[in-house]
Amino acid sequence: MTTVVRRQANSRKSYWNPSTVATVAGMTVFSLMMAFPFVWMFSTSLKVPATAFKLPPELWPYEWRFENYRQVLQHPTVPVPKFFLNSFKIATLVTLGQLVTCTTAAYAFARLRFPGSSFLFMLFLTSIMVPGQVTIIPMFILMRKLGLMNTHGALIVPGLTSVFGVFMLRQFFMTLPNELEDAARIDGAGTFRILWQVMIPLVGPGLATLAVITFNGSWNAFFGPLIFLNDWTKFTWPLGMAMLRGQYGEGSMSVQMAGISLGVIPTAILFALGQRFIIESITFSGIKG
Amino acid sequence: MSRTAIVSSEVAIGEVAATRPRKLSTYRRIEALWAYLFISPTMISFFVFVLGALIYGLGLSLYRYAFFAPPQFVGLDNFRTLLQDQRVVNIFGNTVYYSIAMVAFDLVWATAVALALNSYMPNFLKILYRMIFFFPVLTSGAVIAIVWRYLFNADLGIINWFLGRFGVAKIPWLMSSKWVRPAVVLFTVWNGVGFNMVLILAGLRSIPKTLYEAADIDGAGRVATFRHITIPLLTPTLFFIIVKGFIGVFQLFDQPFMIARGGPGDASRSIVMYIYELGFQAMRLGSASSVALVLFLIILLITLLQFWGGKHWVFYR
Repeated sequence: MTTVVRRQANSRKSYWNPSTVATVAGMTVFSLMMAFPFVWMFSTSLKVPATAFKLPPELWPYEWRFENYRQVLQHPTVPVPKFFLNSFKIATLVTLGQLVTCTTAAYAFARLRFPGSSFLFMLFLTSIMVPGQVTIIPMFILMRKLGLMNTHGALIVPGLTSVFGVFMLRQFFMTLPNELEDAARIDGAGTFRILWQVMIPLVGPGLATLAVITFNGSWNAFFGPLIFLNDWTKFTWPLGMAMLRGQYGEGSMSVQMAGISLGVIPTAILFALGQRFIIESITFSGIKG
Repeated sequence: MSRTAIVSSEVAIGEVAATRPRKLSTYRRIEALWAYLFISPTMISFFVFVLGALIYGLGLSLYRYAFFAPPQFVGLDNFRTLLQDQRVVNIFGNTVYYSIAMVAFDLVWATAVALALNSYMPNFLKILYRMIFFFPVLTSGAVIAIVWRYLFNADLGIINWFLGRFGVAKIPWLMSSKWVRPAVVLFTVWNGVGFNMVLILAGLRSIPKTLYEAADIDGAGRVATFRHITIPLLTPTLFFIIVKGFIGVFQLFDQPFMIARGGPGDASRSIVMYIYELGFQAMRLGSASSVALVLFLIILLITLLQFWGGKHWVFYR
């Protein structure tokens, strides 16, 4: 007994061996380079453009000039706060929509038996192969016919469902034991009640991940808004940042960086809160897939 | 109480019904109805926005549709023009370059980092590094391209300043047709490598330790272990990354568009950028659809080829 305890106490090697030190040193350099664009971006957003271009780069600004942020939020010609509002509205609606539709569909495919379930699911899978850009022209024409052209609806309606979301949540549902459902049915619960009170609480991490990925994806989307929105008051944040640049690149660099830094904040928040979930979910589906 | 009674009678009816020869018992019917209800929004969306759009796009590619005039049927003309279009050849060439360069670069980078993160080091460092490498994946490629534009600036950009300290002459990154594609590759891989890193890390962790121990006992060195244990057991993950990588590169738009608008001339233009130009700037919807269709077929073909080839080198346990 004592021998076992002693072995465990000594089995922790020191971190100070050459191999580990070398790896850590390399990784530190690498991560600094990896994170550099964000550091530069934030630091530039606090400077006057003239000093921003100083080389060697002065990463810790001499004086923190929040003026750029004030300028970007009160820009005379470009309505930046509106862009953020638009993006937020679209992202929220899309996320809520997908949470509802993907959960129900995933549960149906994972646990319910109905004729055609495997065929329909196969069909679904094929749509992952169809890139969004290939269907963009028919979508453009369709949106025109539906009268949704140049509205947020054109972005929200197709975004209310997601094959990827169904796929991911289905994996989660399939990990739950069948017995749960049987027990609930014996207790007299109908299908909907089982879903609402038994299944959903158990796939919490899956729902959280879907919500984060969907919100973030919508927040960052560029191609869809570019195609469907003409009216610049309806623009989303990524399009708005392109507008800040101006037709010939005459927009102030620091102001642009301030705008971008602001736009990255929701992503950073979601990341801080959910990174464990997201990374675990990717890991989880990576092993299965 | 009454709810329970109703549902219990549901079950009771079902049991009774099951003894009679019948296609679906009532109980199963109710379950199926719920299921159809549950999948209906996704199904409708799929049939309209995916299947419907695909078929419509197929049809559209056979027409000349200038948007403000009614469409005229031209059969395979659009495809004939496509084959003779010199720009298309260049742009497809770009895409081939991008796919090979990006997938290879991404794989090496992601594997190196994943291996490092899987080695023996303090846990909090692992989490920190993982966060730093993964964060760019969550940002908007189109927006961060604006930042990278400034980084790549030939005279005032940080990258050239940094290279200059090693004596390298100023590289006209975004202005030169020779250098713009590597620039796009560097930026795009930076944007996406964290995702593959996580996948490879998961793959590494799923390799049973016992295999490594056995190899160690047999006297295998680090290189041999890597070649004969790590890599073979990682092949499913690598396969997934390669397939996904190619599909992704063929759909590239945001990054090349925002960083160089297609580069000097067509040097960095991607296929999807060309579809965008044809469809939404030149308003030639028929031609754009034909390019989109060809793109789709190519993606399909390459994916099938990869699956066929995968049988030979992917090792499943």
